Parts: sequence; C-alpha cells; structure tokens
Amino acid sequence: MTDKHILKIENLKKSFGGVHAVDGCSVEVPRGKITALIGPNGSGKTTVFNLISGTIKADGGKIIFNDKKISNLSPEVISNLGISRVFQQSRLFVNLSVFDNLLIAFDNEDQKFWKSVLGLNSTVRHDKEKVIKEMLESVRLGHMLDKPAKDLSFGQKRLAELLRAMINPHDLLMLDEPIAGVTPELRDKIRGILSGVRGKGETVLLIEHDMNFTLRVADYVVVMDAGKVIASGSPDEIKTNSKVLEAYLD
Amino acid sequence: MISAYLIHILILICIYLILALSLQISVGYSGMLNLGHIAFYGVGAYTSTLLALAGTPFLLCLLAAGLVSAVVGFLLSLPTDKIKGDYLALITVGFSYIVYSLMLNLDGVTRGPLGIPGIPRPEIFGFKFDSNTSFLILSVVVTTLTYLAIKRIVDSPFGKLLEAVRDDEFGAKILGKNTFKAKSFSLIIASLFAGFAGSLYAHYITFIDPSSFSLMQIIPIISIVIVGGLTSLPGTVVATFVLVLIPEALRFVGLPSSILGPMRQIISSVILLVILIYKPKGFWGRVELE
Repeated sequence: MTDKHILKIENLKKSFGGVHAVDGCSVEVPRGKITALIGPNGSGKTTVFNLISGTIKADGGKIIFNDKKISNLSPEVISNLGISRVFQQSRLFVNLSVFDNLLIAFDNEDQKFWKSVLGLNSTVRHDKEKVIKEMLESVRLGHMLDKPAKDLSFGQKRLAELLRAMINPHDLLMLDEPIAGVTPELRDKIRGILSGVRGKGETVLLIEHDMNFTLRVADYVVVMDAGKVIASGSPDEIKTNSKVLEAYLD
Repeated sequence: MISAYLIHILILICIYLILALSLQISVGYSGMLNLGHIAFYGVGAYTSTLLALAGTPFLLCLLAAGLVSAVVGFLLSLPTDKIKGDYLALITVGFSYIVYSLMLNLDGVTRGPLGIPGIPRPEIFGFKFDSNTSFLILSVVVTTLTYLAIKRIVDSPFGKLLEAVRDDEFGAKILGKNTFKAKSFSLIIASLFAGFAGSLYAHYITFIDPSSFSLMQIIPIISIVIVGGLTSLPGTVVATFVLVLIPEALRFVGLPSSILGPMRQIISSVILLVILIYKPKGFWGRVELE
C-alpha cells in the first residue's frame, strides 16, 4: 500500500560554519496535496529545498521519498527518482530556445547518443512538440516558442520554468517562490496553473513569502523558524497559531 | 605554379576546417575551453602513420586514427569532469604539452624530433591519391562528411543537451541529466574528428614530426572558432577560408621566410583580439565566450 506521505524528513540538520541553517527539522509532505513551507527570512526553507534536491549535503537526519532514502544522493539521481524543482533564480538555458528548454525536460532520451543522432525517436518527438506547444499556448507564450530563453521577460521566465518543471517527469513538484517579483496578473495565472496541478492529484511543495497567495493555494502548511518546524496544519489553523504570529512579528 | 599552390591551400583549408568544426563541439556547443585539441590531431597523425608504415590500408588507418584519438579524448574527460573555464583551459594546455613531450621523447615509436618520413599517400580500392588534385577531392569528401556528421549531431536532441550543459550544468543535473556522460561524449566526438584530420595531414605531407602538433598550432584553430562564432558551423567555414587566406597573402608581400611564420601567428592573434574586443560572439555566433 502506498504511503500517504510522499516525502518524510526526519531530524534534518545542516550547518554553515557556526550557523545552524536547518536544526533538527522534521516534515511530512502528504501525497496529492499542495504543501507550503513558510517562515521568516533565514528560517531555513530554501536550505531544506536544497537538501531535498541534493544541491547540498546534509550533516544529519534522513530524507525519505516514495519510501526510498534519498539523503545526500546527487541532484540528477534525485531528479530521476521523481523530484522536479523550480529555483528562486532563473535556471533556464539562456541560449536555447524556449521550445528546446521545455523539450529537454521531457525525458532522458537525449542522452541516448545514437538514437538521438539517428533520429530514431522522431515519432515520440512529434508528440512532445504537440504537448509543449499546447502548454505554451495555454499561458500565452506560444509566440516565444523559437526565441532564446534570454529574450524572455522576468515573468515569462518564471512561467517557462514552471512549465519546464511540470514537464520534467515527477511525483513531487518543488517550487521555490514561484511568484516572487511577478505582476498581479501573472500571480493569478500561476495560481491557476497550481489549481490545475492540484486538480490532477499532483503533489506540490511550495515556498512562498506572499501569505495571501500561500494560504489560498495550500492544503497544508509547515512553518519554520530558526531551522526548526514550529507549526504545521491547515491554512486556517496556521492563521491563528500563536507561535507563527510570534515568529513573523519578531 | 599558382594552381598547384591553390590546391595546396585548399587542402590545408580542409584539414583546418575539420579541426575547427570538431573544436566547435567542445568549445562552442559544450562550453569547454579545450586548448588541447591539437594533441588529438597529433595522436591521429601518428596512429595513422605507424599503421600505414606497417602496411595497413588507408581507410583502416583513417578509422584507427579517429578511434585512438577518441579513446584519448575519453581519458581526458575523466579527470576534467568537474573542471570548468580557465582551469579546464590550463589542464588541456598541460595535456597538450604531455602529448607533445611523448611525441618528442618516445624515440622508439615516433623517432622523436627526427620525425617520420615516407608516409604513403592514401590508396582506396586500388586508386592511389598520388596527385594533389586527387588528394584535394579526398579532403573535400572527408571534410563534407565531417560537416554533415557534426551538423547532424549538434542539431539532434543530444546536441541540445550539450548546449544545456554549456549554459547551466547544474540546471541540467537538476533535470536529471548525466552531465559527465554528455561532456565525455563531446570530447570523444571532437577528438575523433581531430584524429581524422591528423590522418589526412600525415598522408598529405608524407612526413610528420612533433613540431606540427605543438601547442602553438591551436592558435589559428581557436581563432577560426571564435571569429566564425561559437556554435556557428557556416561561420566556421567562412572563418577558415578567411584566416587561412589572409596570412597566405603575406607571401606576395615579399617578406623573408624567417619573418613570414611568426607574422602569420601575429596576424591570427591580432584578428582574434580585435574580434574578442569588438565582436565577442564572432561574426555568426549565438554564444559569447566566457
């Protein structure tokens, strides 16, 4: 029977010099829900994201994903196990077209040299092209299909990265501040995309500073402060939690 | 005679073009500042020469030259996986020196600085490419096949993967890509074609010695890649013609031969400097050299 939690973090620790960025953090992410990881600046949210995706190595603790221990595995192995991530800063391949940026995320067929060079996967490619075009059209980026990613505006880059992370095969989608710095219209668009993702029963782990946005889209909220989890529960429970209010007011 | 001279220049252009196109794969498409490319060219030339002198047919010599260079390219990819930019450039310079030193000092195999004379002209299915005209045809065929093969590779999804690794290696890892494998393949392909170029050179000049494969020989090749523009194959073709023909024009100025050689390198370097300052993407490139 599948565990109802897709991701379990147990007593995770990470220090940078004398700073305990993550200090015995334990989190459970329910399957098929949008979980928000919130907290004041410097509370350790992004460090937890980096530890989950293998960007940095943990000093202690365990990360279990789909019943498999993934702590300290390399980023590519973790990605191939089914974790897809959007970073705070754009990580689009700037000289590739928007289309190629999305195509590359589809699968690892491009790593099969002979199949790739001899065009033996061209039928599959046609299907991928159709999906990518539809996705870009749905967020009104169809006209940017052949443009290099460096020509996109900030907001368009956020959208393209979100789509790329969604295309990348995954069981868990991790979004690090997806609406930071975007216009209100784009924020609504991203909220719409997340609603669609939830409708499909996908699991999302989200970091976001905008509380209105977070509490509207999240099913479950985990609050961190000083590298520890100080509260967790439904958005309504979190809104009235005294520890949370204290952490944000300090 | 002018026509014989032109044929000679066109053959050299073909050999330079194969070297520059293959260097585009590692420098332009994969973002690896590989200054050791001449070493693969040398390995190919010596492999082909030694096999030819042992009686091996030319096509097998050509193939072996590419394969042995590709193996050396793979070996170089092992320690350089995590090294980038200037550091990678320095390591590949060191690698080039090591290969050059081996050519110079493995007297029993390479005859050291004396070089190896008497390399036979190619013979394919009984047809001997004795004349320079026939050798030019062979060179054009090999160069065209090289161009088409490299174009096919860089336009394929694998080529896009190489570009992704160049733009953001960590970003590619986060998408689940094995970037070591991609970079390794890139070096293998680049060195394979450099090996072919080495074989052509050896069988054309019919004499090789280590001086043809010293580190300095990378200057015109890297200049072609940068002037033509990173990731531009047509640009590489045009730049090869321009950068080979401009220094050749010096012959008609009447300079003494002791000055002619250094002047060519000075001209290549000046062109490179001007392009890097005023047109860092080269003439047709999409990507700036970092």
